[in-house]
Parts: sequence; C-alpha cells; structure tokens
Amino acid sequence: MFTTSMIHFESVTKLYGKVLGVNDITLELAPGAYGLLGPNGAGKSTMLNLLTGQLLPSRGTVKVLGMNPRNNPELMRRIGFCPGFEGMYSSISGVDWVTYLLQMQGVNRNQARVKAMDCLELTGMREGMYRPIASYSRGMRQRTKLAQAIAHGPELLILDEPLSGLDPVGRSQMTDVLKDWITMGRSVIIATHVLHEVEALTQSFLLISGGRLLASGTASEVHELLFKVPMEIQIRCSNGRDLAARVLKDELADSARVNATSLGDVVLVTTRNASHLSQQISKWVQHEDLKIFEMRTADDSLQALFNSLMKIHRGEL
Amino acid sequence: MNALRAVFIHEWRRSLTAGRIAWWLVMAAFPAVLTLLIRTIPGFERGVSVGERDTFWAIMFYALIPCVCSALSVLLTAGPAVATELEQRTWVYLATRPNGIFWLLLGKYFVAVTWGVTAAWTGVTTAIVLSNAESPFVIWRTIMALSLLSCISYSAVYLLVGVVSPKRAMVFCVVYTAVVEVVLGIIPAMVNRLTVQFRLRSLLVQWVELSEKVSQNSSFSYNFGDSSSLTHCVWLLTLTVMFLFLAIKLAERKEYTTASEGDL
Repeated sequence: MFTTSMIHFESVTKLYGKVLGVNDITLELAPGAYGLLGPNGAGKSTMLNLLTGQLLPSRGTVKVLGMNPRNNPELMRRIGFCPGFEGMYSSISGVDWVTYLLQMQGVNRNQARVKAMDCLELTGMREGMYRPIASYSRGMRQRTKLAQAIAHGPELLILDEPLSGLDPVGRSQMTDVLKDWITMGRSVIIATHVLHEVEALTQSFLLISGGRLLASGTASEVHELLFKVPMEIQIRCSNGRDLAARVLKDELADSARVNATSLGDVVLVTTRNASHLSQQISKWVQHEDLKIFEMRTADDSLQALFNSLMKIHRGEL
Repeated sequence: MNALRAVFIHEWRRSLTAGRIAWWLVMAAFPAVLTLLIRTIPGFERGVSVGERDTFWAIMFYALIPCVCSALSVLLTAGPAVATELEQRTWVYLATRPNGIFWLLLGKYFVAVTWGVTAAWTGVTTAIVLSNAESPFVIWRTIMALSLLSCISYSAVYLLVGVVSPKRAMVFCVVYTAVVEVVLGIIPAMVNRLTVQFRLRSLLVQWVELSEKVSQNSSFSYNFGDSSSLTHCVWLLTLTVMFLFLAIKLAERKEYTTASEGDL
C-alpha cells in the first residue's frame, strides 16, 4: 500500500449493464500533473467519475488521496471537479453559480462571493460574470466551470476536456491558469482526446482506450508512438492532382487521394511527418501557383494510435 | 448549515418562475373559489343546523386544502427534485461537494414544504373568510395545522419517490398518492395506519367537533384512529423522518451518471 499515492486503482472494472466502462485498470499515481488521453468513448469520463466517487467500481478498489471517494465529505473538500458537459443553471449569473457552489463547500456567503469573483476574474470572466449563464458562449461556460472547480482551493483538480470550445486566446489564458496551478505544487488530472492541448501543461500521460489503460509515459514517448502511426491530412486546394503528385514525388506522404468537389479539389494525404509536409506546402503557396483553401487533420491521429495500441494489446500487431 | 441555507435560498430564487407562481396562485385561490361556488348553490343552507354546517366546512376544507392543495403544491416541487438536476446536468457539481447530496435534498425538501404551506395557508385563510362557518377560528386553526403536517409529510414522500424514479417522478407521485394514500388509506386494516391520510383524518376528528352524524357513523369509524393527537403527530413525524432518511441514503447510493452514452 502506497501511503503517498494520489490515485490508486487496483484491478478496477466498471460495467454499465453489459457495457464495459473501464476494464481491469491497475494504476498508482504520485501527486503531480497528468494528462488522461483517449478517444471519445475510451472510458475517460468513467475514470473521472470513479475518482470523484460518482460511480462505484463493479470490481476493484479506488483510492484518491488515500481515501475511498464514494460519499466522502473529507475528500470532496480536497478535490475540485470540472465535468466535460455544460451543466449549469441558465437563469443565474456565473458569479451566483460559483458563489452557490462555494457555499455548498461550507464557505459563508460573503466570503464565497469574494472568492467566486476572484476565481472568475482569474479565468478571464471579469466582464461576463454578472450576466446570466444562458447568454454565455461555450468558452465562457468552460471558464466558469474551471472557476467553480478551483474556487475552494482543492489539492487535486480533476478536469474533463477543460479546453474544448475555447478560442486560441482562451486556451492560452486557461493554460496559464493551469500552469500556475501546477507550479504551486498542486495536482491535476486532465482528460482530453487532443494530445497537444495538454502538452503545455504536463509531461506525464496515461493513454486509455476501450476501457483499458494502454500505455503511460512522457510526451516524447507518446510522440514516438504517434510518429509510427500515419496521420491523415485533408487539403482543399486549387489543383489537387498537381499537389498530390508533388507530395508523392517529394516523399512527403505515403499516399494521396484526390476528390473533385464543387468547392475545389480535396486531397486526402497520409503522412508520417505532418510538420515537414505543412512546411513544404507553405513554401509552395508562397512561391508557386498553388492556392490552399483549407487544410486540416482528420483529428483521428490519436484514434489511429489507440487502434494500433489496441491491436498490439490483442496481439494482432 | 451554510450549505443548507445556500440550497434553500438558491432553490427558492430558482422556483420563482411565472409558471410556478401561477401554480401557487391556483392552489391558493382554489379553496376560496370553490367556497364561493358552494355558497351560491340555491338552498345550500336550508335546513342545515349550525353544527352540521361547521362539520361540512371542516370536511370540505380538509379535503380541499391538506389533501389536495398541499399535496399538489409539494408534489410539483419535491417530486422532480432529483430529475431537474439530472436534466440540467448540474447533479455532479452538487454531488461532489461535502455532503452535497444531503444538503441538496434537505434544502429542496424545505423549499417544497414552504411552497406548499404558504399556498395552503393563504387558501385556508381566504376560504374561511368566505365561508359561513359558526366557529371559523377552530376550523381555520385545525386546517392550518393539518396543512403544515400534510406538507411536511408529503414532501418527504414525494422526495423519496423522486429519488427512486427521477425520470417518471411526477407520474409515480400521483400513482403513489392514488394507490397508497387514497385506496390503502381507507382500507379497514392495519395498513391504513401507515398512511399520512389516516393520521391527518384522525387529527381532524380530534381537533374539530364534528356533528354526531359523522363522528358516530360506524362506517366512518375505521377511518379514524382513537390514539391521542400527540401519537398521530409523532407517527407523522416518524414517517417523515423515515422517508427523508431513505431518500437521502438512496440518492447517495445511486449512480446518477450524467455522461452521455458515447462518452463513457
């Protein structure tokens, strides 16, 4: 038994009827910052719900800060939770919502109000905190959710997709808030399906898919895994055939497929070196007669990685 | 206690919606309107003795206020106590606070009681003024007390039903009332002693002097308990505490996950 562990999972399985949420996970985490990575439906939210005591494991033991999280008031004082969904009362203001939740922590109304205002200001909600939540954008809701999670100064912050819906400026601000949080020596677990979202915050990752913990390690280790998996990039441009021929000729891609659409040619490129490809395309756009209308990843590189890891796990690779 | 006060104030503010206020007004005005309508019936008072008239009003107000107004008022607030949080996906924020479920349900319970009591007390006060009872104060005092007991008890009952089945809370509350309180409540057996209705009826008979026609009618006797008023009150409070305790413990044991199906 590790007395210093922040999170302890021992053979934890969670079943929703016949559906597997998490499958036989054993895990020991020391205090610190961790990214919980996995595609949608991987079991991330189930893990977080087990950590916050909202779910009871079908099998196994869960301990958080050395305690059973189920209906544990002492633990609830020490953790802050930001769920992945946007559940908030729409008719009240952000400051009232955070004040209310602080009062639920046992803080008196006046102190709760001051703390709520401070935290909302910290998360960039100074302007909008008095408006009804119904009028908030998705980003503002995310900021309010983060404010309620940190307002009571928990030791451990559990965040489910905290950066989704934020614009680049918002992401940067929230990342700074979380960086400061980690610098203060407090712990955080961030569940996300986008690797680069948490790279700026932590170097420790847990990879989960199909309810199983597939791998854990540092960012470079995850990148190494990612590197081995080809990434799909979709490019909408003026001359698809020409672009496809170029990327294949320069060995920037393993394959390229061209589809002609009413909005221009769409080239679907499979590459193992996305950064090199994007640099080269930038040069072509600047110096040659190539027009790029849209360029985006299929955002399933991580999914591809997980699929590969699952295959390795099953002994198929 | 900060948490309980916070939930109580917060829930009260949230419940001040146009629909809820309209419902409160309907519940508060309903007894008065019915009293007026009854008094306009031609020949209503002809040949009725003073004692019978007071008995009539006492039973009428009992049926209208503690049985209908109070029960319906608290049903609307206590029944969906859990369902509203689950639908708005706010449950998890509150459940991850120290003793969050306990304070949330207790706070909502008190909100339900106060909503119901204010509607019932307004209703009985206006209705008694419009009636022509000979001893209005005795009837008023009795119905006020019974309304309070009714709200206290039914809020706990409906809270428990809402915890057991949040998705169909209102339907099950109505079914519970019809099957347990109405049907079982009048069955001449020990089982009717476990209903709120039996205790309230017994208290009515003890606190208001009903006419001999009613109080000595053998067909009614099994519907009233002959224990002391204190015993009936203790029974009601015991049932209330038991239902509240069960509701809170059950809510703490249940797994109200709010993750969407695709986001396990």
